[in-house]
Amino acid sequence: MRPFSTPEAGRDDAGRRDINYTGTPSLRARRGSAAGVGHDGEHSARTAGTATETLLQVRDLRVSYPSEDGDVRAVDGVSFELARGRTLGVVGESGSGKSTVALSLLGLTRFDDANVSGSAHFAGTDLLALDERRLRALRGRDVAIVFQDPLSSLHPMYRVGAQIAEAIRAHQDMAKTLARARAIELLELVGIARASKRVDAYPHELSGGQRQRVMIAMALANDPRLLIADEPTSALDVTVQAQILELLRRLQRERGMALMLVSHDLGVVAEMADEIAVMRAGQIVERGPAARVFTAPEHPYTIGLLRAIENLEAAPRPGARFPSEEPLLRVEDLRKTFPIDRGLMLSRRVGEVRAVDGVSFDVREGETFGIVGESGSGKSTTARLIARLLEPTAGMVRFAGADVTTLRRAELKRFRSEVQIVFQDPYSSLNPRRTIGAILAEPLQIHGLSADRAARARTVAELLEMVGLRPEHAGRYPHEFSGGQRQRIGIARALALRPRLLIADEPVSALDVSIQAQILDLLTDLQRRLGLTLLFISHDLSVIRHMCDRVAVMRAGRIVELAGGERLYTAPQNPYTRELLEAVPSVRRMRERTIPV
Amino acid sequence: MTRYVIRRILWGVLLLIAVAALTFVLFRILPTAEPARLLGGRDASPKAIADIRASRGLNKPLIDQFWLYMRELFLHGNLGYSYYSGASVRSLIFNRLPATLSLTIGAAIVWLAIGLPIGILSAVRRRSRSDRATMGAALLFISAPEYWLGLIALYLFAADIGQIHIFPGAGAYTGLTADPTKWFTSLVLPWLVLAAGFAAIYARVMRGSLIDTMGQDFVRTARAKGLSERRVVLRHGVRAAIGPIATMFALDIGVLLGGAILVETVFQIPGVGRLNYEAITHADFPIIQGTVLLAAAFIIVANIVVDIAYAYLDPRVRFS
Repeated sequence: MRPFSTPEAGRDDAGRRDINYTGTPSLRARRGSAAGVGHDGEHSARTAGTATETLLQVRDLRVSYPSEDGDVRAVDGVSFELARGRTLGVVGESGSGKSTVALSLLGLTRFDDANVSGSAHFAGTDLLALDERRLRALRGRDVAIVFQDPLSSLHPMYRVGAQIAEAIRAHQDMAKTLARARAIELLELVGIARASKRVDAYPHELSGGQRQRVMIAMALANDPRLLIADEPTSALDVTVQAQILELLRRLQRERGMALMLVSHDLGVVAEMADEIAVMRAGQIVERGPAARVFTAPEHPYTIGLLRAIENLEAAPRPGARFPSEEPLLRVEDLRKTFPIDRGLMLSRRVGEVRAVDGVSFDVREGETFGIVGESGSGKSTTARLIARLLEPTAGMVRFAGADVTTLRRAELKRFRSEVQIVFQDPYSSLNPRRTIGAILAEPLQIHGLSADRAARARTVAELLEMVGLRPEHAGRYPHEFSGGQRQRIGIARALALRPRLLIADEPVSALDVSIQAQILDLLTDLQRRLGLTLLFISHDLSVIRHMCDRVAVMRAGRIVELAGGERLYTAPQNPYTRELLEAVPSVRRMRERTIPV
Repeated sequence: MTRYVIRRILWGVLLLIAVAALTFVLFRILPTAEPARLLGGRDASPKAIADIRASRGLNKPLIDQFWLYMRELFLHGNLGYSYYSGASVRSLIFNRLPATLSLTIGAAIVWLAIGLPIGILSAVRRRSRSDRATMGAALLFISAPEYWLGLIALYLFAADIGQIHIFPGAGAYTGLTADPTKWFTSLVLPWLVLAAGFAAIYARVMRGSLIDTMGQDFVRTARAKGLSERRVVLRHGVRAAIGPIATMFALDIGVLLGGAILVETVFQIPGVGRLNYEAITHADFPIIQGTVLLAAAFIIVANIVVDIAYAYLDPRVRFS
């Protein structure tokens, strides 16, 4: 009995396809063999060879998953090539199938009962036709993959050094001590400081950037010829993202590796790729050299995608907003500290986290004020303090002249109807057990804004139309809507009470680029129509630039720079602001750098 | 970590005192059987009953009785004397403990050895025929009452009353040191019966936990490294899935060490569970208090062990 065996390729349950089953792969599955498909383990020999030798050739790749409503075609006929030492960027929005392409190359989709057809020739062998045993010899050795979220992709209970050593010993005959030494070398290679100490750390003890470096080290452990990076920087801050991309670039150059970079972020791909494949609904709609695709796209989808980004990256159109001089919101030396407690029976304070460390700014009525910063900068905490979802440790928040922190009962309730928040995650900020009609009607009920149920229903219908949804949908549940639609519902809910100040905390960060543009346009439009004041919080500089009149840059709980108009982007004063601007992968910058072919 | 353990132990002692007090009071106050009346027999005269009560100290005020009990317990480790036999409760319990230990530890080994592998295999071969069969059987064994299983087992396999004469019947238990072979053969059926329900539960929990774990990203990473599926399942999947099992295990052992009454009764094993049962029928308060205290102590220790084990198993929990 072989309880751990998995289905063999070459035999298809559906009997649908014909495989070029070679039967005699030139790979050797024996452990410790370094003589795979011309695998010589010598860097110099490889980089000295022909740079344009095709390493990977994919033809008519199709991946479908069985489901209740018939087969879901995740990948629907994808073909491309990748040469040695080159970078292919596979770009597409969520659901386009790009990650599935990457996973299917390594046979990782088989574990989810996927049906895979087509061919993927890697150095002469069809990966899709290999059986599990032979494919295993390839994984982590000739072809390696780096995943998106390093916290969940690393085993939480083993030290990082042990996990890297495991990757080494899976393919090389090496003693444990030697493997550990090699792991330390790899950690140094990917830029982890004090590697000999860090090698014994657990994943949760490292930062996001460090974890991703560990993943990269693990992937490089056996000197792969092809590295697949599936959204390697999506879970990271912008500045860390830049570092990781730089690392990948350097490693690729040094080793002559082929790199397949999968991302939804066109900016990231623009900076890294030699060639681009744009995917949509399981198919490649456009493919070509990166320079050409970005400067002269041919397919309407690509054109639309680039335009959406362009709009975001461009300077805002002169708005029809005329903010008054009166500050509607005034924040004075706002502070919020969270205590760190230690101790057994009697907890004592050993330290504190200064989430917000003396923040002051004004927001004028009718303006759009932006707060930009990376994770941990304190921007979301500031938003919650202003909305009084948290109590400040010190400092003051004045709304329309009144001190918010001392409000009670009736006044507090009225305050809540004047200041509303739209949250980041449209998937978790709506109660899944209520219809959206009920969700929207609730604030009306609480604040007694509508006479009776019929009046409420009318208001709900109005709200839905205002955000571009149909009133008939009021009886549906949140899970029946897409992410973009759910965010619209979130906005509608925030507007139900006709607030004067709308705080938008990363409202589009969880959405695809094309949807982002729509939501931002909606916000701008609503602001104009309803005379809203908008406090816009984001980590995304392009979005902020697109939306805001004035911007405050936050870091470690403090505002490091505050500027209006274009000054922040054209003449940043603070070094951190400059760093942020530099780190943003930009399609436009890439275009400007490129000489049209 | 040591400070944490010491703190838990101190709280545990406090809890034991509370348990002792509570049981004491409950049995004295609640209208349960009157020990004096039971001891006196059917036609005892009121005077005889009163004498019996006096001899056992039951006529003293409640506070005095309580104070006496607590003092003896915590200063001298004296758990009192049986109303019935006059024997020291402590010695009675310690005489019975080996049997309970044998039964519990043996059953634990059996249910882990059966339940975990079945759970793992079922998770890996999800929705296969063997998976459905084993999970169905598991449901059967969880639902079946222990005593019923015990009686069926005796009916089928006992040497004296069974259909097929393999194992000794009820009452055949002998100590390990006295006769190892007989000790072993007399415990096989009780082990299997006691383990049946637990193995079924552990198989189901292991299966569920492992299915969850195998869907995690780090399992995908392990496969992407080119590890054998066996290594992926055992060293990555099971390692992460074992947490709930460890927790359950410590608690189950803790509870069982207080006495597996049903199995001990069916198979006539002289363990703490049966001691407790007999004491209850005679309203023999000192023994009952003693066994309850013992059970509470085991459960408290088990809880402490669970917390330590969890911190050991999951490094994320450790540093808080």
